[in-house]
Amino acid sequence: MKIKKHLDKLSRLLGQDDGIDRDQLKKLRKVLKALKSDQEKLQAKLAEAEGEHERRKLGQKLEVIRLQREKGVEVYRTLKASREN
Amino acid sequence: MLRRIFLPVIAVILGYGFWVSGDFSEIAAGVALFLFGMLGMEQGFRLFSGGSLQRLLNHTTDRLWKSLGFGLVSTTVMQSSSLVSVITISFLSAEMISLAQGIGIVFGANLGTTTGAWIVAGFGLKVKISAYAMPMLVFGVLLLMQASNRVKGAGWILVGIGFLFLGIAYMKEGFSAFTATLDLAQYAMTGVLGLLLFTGIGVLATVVMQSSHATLALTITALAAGQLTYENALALAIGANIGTTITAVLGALGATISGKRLAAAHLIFNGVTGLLALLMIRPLAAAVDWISAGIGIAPQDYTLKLAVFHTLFNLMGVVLMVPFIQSMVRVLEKYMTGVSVEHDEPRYLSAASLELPDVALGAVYKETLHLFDNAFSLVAHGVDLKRSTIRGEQDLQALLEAPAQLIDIDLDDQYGRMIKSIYSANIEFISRAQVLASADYRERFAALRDANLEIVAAIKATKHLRKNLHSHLRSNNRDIRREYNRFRARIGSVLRQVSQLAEEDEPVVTLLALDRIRVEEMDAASNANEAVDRLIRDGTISSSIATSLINDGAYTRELVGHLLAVTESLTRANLAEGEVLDSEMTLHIDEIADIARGSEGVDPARLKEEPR
Repeated sequence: MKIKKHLDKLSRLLGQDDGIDRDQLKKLRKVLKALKSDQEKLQAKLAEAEGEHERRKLGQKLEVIRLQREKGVEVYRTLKASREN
Repeated sequence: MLRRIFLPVIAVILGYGFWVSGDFSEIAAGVALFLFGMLGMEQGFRLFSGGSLQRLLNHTTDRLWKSLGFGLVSTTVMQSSSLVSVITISFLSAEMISLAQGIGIVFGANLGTTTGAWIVAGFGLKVKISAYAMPMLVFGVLLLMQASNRVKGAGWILVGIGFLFLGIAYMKEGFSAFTATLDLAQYAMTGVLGLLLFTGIGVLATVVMQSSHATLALTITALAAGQLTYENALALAIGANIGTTITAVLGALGATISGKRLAAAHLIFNGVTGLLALLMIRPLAAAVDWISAGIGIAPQDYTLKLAVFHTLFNLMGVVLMVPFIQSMVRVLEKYMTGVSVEHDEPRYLSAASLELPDVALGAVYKETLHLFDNAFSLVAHGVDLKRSTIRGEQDLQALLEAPAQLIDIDLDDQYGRMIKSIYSANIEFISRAQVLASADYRERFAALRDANLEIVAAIKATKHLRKNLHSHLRSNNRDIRREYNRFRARIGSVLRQVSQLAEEDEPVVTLLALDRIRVEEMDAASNANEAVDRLIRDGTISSSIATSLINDGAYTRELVGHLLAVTESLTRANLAEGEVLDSEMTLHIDEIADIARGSEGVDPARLKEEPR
């Protein structure tokens, strides 16, 4: 068992481990968090916005973020599932 | 002219040497192997460290002692100050470190090179060094065949050390054999003349071999074989120290003014240290005897005593010159200034950075930001907007009704002054860097090239738009003025959002944010078209004005598209290799169009919905 562990370590060191990027999930969490924070800021602005033009612009931006977060969550699930398998 | 005859002259001298003496060819082969070993180690450290050497430099030079330490340790480990110098010049050119920090590194590197003499004298001559070289070469070549760059780098380092050792062994054997046929020591000279002559030979040998390390190795092996007197060997060591600055000065010729200042500081340091060593040769030699006796070096062990001398006079130089670093910086910055021209010139590009893909990428990235910043002003002023209006908080919709404050600007002239030179330098630099860089960097360089092309395209679109915009903003017809102001507000809004995105650290988040601007822009473009149609139907504007508005609307769309493309390309240049998140999460063009079209129907409750 120990030998196998060391061999795995060596093969990673020699660049032969082409598995998925372990940082990908971490990165995705960071991106989703940033989107969520932008979303909250825009929602706060929308609550205070008065002009029709401003409200329309903010509504569009929020819709973009909603769709992107939806896609991000989907990617997160797929990555998680592939790691568990 | 001098450069053209230099190589043939050296080749003829070497050829003659090979013809008259077999031992000479062994020594020359030793020097060649030694130099090849140094090149191998340098190449290895480039690959092995990836960008970590640069990152380390970035974080360990905020204090003078750290700069000195970085120069000392990195040169000791790599046994070559040239890579450290190249990185330092390129960092300085890209304004990533200050001149004082750069000088600190160079001083430290000078001290670091003295460890080479210790390795050759203390290890290379005491053991059968070629026995160590063979396994290193075998394992090194084995690692060279691996796929990973890091492992390849380690392979190059091993191969480099192997050749370095082999070179020392050849030099050692060559000089030993030489002793039987010719005694070079009979040409030894004493007194001031000998000191100056051998210092000159040291300078010349270092300039020819482009390495003070090789001169020292040659000196120490000749000294060990009794082909040189100790006194002349000391002068050669001083000469090697002075000669190495000539290499640095030649390297700085293509650098920016900061690189040239650093080379000047290097020249001052080594020149002053060399001069002091020549003037104080007797007390220094006495100090060497005293120190050697103290650390157990035998009085007749001249090779190790030479290593002590080399370390001692460089240490003396550092101790004497460190307190004057700030004064040196002031003098260099006062007397070595860039050529002041009315044109804006590239600030961060230098030939030295080309050799290190990470630094080259960083330098051209900064230069592209510099170009974009200039273009930002041109575009803003081209549509009669002040930078302060864009950077401020003002609601840009207020521009629609207010009379525009026209800005007098000749875009062609400004293009020549602020853009052309930087743009040309960037394109040339990227072309050269792409050839030198590995495939991993190609996409990022290509992205920066695109960013440059898009910046220039944005300025051209501004020029087209400005023709009508400038005159119609003075129109008596309020509707025409409002529609042209609408173009300005759109461009101002995009410029504002794009400059805000520059603050974002995570490239994927920036790329996703661009979708929001795209939706806003698509909606604005469609509103502008509807407005023109309405004005035509109402008979408020003539058909010729209507076609102008339609054409200028297209230029506005084009300009905005270029500005977004610049931001996208700049961001992609920072994207981690193999990153796919952006393509997985960004919206498709039809999704963007749907949101822009159906904006009025967006349900606020749905906007608060959390993804399932």
